[in-house]
Amino acid sequence: MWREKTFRCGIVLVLTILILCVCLPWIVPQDPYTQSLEEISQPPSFSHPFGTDFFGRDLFSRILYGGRSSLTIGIIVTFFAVAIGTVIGMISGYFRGWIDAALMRFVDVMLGFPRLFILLTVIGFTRPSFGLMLAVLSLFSWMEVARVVRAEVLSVRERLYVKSAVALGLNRRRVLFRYIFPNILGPIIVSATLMIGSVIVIESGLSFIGLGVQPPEASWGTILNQGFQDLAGAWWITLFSGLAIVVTVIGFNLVGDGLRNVLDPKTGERES
Amino acid sequence: MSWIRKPASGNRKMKSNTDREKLIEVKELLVRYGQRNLFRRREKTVNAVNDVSFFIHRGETLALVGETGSGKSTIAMSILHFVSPDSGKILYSGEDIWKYKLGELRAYHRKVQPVFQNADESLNPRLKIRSTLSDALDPTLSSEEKSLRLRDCLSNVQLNEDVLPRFPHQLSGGQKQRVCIARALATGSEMLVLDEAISSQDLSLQAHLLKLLLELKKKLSLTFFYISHDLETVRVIADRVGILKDGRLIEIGDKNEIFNSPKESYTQLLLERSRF
Amino acid sequence: MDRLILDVRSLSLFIQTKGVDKAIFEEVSFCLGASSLLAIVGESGGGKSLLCKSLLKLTPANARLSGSAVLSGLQTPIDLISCSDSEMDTIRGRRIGMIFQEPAASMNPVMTCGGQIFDALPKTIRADRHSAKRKLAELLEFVGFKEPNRITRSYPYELSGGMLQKVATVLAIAGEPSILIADEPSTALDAVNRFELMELFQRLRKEFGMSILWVTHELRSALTHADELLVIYAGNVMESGIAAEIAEHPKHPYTKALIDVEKSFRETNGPRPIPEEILPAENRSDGCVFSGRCEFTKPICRKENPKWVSNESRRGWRCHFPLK
Repeated sequence: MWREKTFRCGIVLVLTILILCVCLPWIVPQDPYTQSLEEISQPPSFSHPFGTDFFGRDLFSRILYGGRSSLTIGIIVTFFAVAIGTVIGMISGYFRGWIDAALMRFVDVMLGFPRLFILLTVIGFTRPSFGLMLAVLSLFSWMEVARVVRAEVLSVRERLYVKSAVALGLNRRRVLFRYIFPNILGPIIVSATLMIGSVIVIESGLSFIGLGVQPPEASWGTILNQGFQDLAGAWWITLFSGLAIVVTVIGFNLVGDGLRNVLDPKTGERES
Repeated sequence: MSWIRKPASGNRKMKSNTDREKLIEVKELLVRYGQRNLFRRREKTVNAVNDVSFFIHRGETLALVGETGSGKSTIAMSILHFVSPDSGKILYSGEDIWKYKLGELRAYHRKVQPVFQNADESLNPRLKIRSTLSDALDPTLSSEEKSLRLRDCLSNVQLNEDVLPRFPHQLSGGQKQRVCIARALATGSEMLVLDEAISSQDLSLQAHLLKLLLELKKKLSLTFFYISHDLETVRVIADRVGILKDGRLIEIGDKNEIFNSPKESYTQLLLERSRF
Repeated sequence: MDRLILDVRSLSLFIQTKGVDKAIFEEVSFCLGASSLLAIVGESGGGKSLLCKSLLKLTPANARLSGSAVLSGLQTPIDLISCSDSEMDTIRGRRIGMIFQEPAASMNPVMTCGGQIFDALPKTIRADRHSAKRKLAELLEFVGFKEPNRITRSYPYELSGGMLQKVATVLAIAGEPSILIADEPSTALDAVNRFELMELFQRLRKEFGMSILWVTHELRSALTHADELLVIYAGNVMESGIAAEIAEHPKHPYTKALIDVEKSFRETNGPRPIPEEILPAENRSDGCVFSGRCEFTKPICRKENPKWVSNESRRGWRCHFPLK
């Protein structure tokens, strides 16, 4: 696995960003909230490696803090979406019959709702908040995973080793968790890593239009939003926040691609 | 004659047995398959198994021979309780297996075990051999008893203990098939359903497996239901032979009768072609 | 023998895993003549499949080939091992066709058989719809289908194994190749379909002058129908020559062991397999690969790999103590 080039690149990128964001309190050079009238809109310099924003706040620190928000959302939403999707997909695929039909119709209905508009509607009733965004995104991102998992379960349950396990008289729970689940893990993991990237982009988009993270909290989307107000002049704001998003998403996608290559039983682990 | 039997798992009481008892009786089995084209327009029902009746005596090897698509595997799957018949019965020691409740079904499964054609696909690629075989053992046993049994299982199929910590892809084809046989026996089974388990291997491996199966049959008093399209291996292992064509059992009888004086023309054709 | 179509010399295949080169087969040499049927026999895992795939550059990415395989015939001779990828494109399906053990796996499940065969026809024939249709029907009738139109319209899943293998054969010969490589084509088939496939091979040889490279473990069929035989064990050629001669007087203990196993199926005591290696796996690269299981093995067999010995009629063997 470690020899897979895409995986290695991806892991390097992802780990760097993760470590930076996690070790924030120790490495952040300046307080991201302190405004400083003298230092408004400074281009990158030695004391401010990424420059400052319109309030004189150090951009580098804000980007690190923003990373925290974006990554948290990405990982948490993905975790819940994958968890819900996997459970529903496995139940649907394994038990079939009316349970499968009912669940899949439910998935179809859910897929009919556009996430963005749901979020806008919900926010319309209350105030935009971090938790709200987390909840809505989690509840509306699990459907693809459910479909993928169900398809995998349907194919794996027909394999001879699953039939042999049933023939041994093993109970259903054992068959599901020991014979089916480990063999559908590959696509699940890959979906998950790819989803992190897309959730971060969605969050950035929401924050960009003002519906996600609220000031003075930072997220890459809010910073990007600010940068747009003076695209040519304070170019460093747009550049670095945009770059942060792109690099992170590429990193996770590479990890996902690399994992997909590795977990393919024909080319990856089996070298015999 | 003493019956060398491994202890049964589950709570079912086995009836007392006599020689030539009918272990499995298949009565007027009918299994249908629907065929649809890509756009689900045409729906053609085909009788995969058409009014088939036969029985398998305890301790014998019944072979079912026929072309691919003749329905042999479907019959095997029905006996293994994987494919439900559209009509007809399958009796095990007189009991209808399709009327079993969950507990009885589990006990039945452990008594009648499959060995499939493709050993590669019969083993969970994510489990070590030790885990796969342990899953077959009686779960109420203690861990020392389990280790002992594992060793017995392996020695029965002439495998070394060093296969235990390995994964399936680290074993050769022959070793994998032998693990499958070991697993089938580890449940204390009394009948093995061998679905093309031998014929697609190379000659040398066929010889190994056939010799092994014949020895095991004697040692453990097993019954075999042997499905194959290859008459050579059937001739070695079978006591009685049935010929299946297009879902119908056209001839069934003692091995020597079938091979030396077949009554049906299709049987004669098969024999002729296999001598080629 | 007729003129030479394929001349393989010292073909070796190494696979790189985790930095180490593992030899799949070594120093394989044989000749294939026009209209000739060469059977490659041996146990599973001996490298027979990869040998065929090497001739068409269908080996895995981490494989390294050495040696030569010169394809002669109507067009200019070309070395299949050292040729470029674009040159190989003109050979696959055109000058060499291949069929596999599982015909369903090598066909497109969402395309009709007719459509797939059409794609396999040479460009010149495809250009004219009418001649293409005629050729399609001809080919299907040649392989034994009585209702070619029904087959043309069918999808692979609608056909049985035997019929699919015949369609796969049509796909392989549609480009009018000089060689057909058949990798265990009848292993998954029953006796009747096997018989029909063998008949088809004979017709291909007689009417098209096609040479056939046939990998199989059905020893009796091979000894009966093949012109020449290549016996492979663990990636090494143990014996080669005219099939009838080998059947009568095998020179290598492994060949004899295989023939004995085959005979033992019909004995009253049941099959007698070749004994497995009981001794620990020693450094095989030194001695003969078969020495662990050979009933005639002597100390020198473990130390020294025997050299290839051959006589004028291209009969050869690799053994320190050949039989008779």
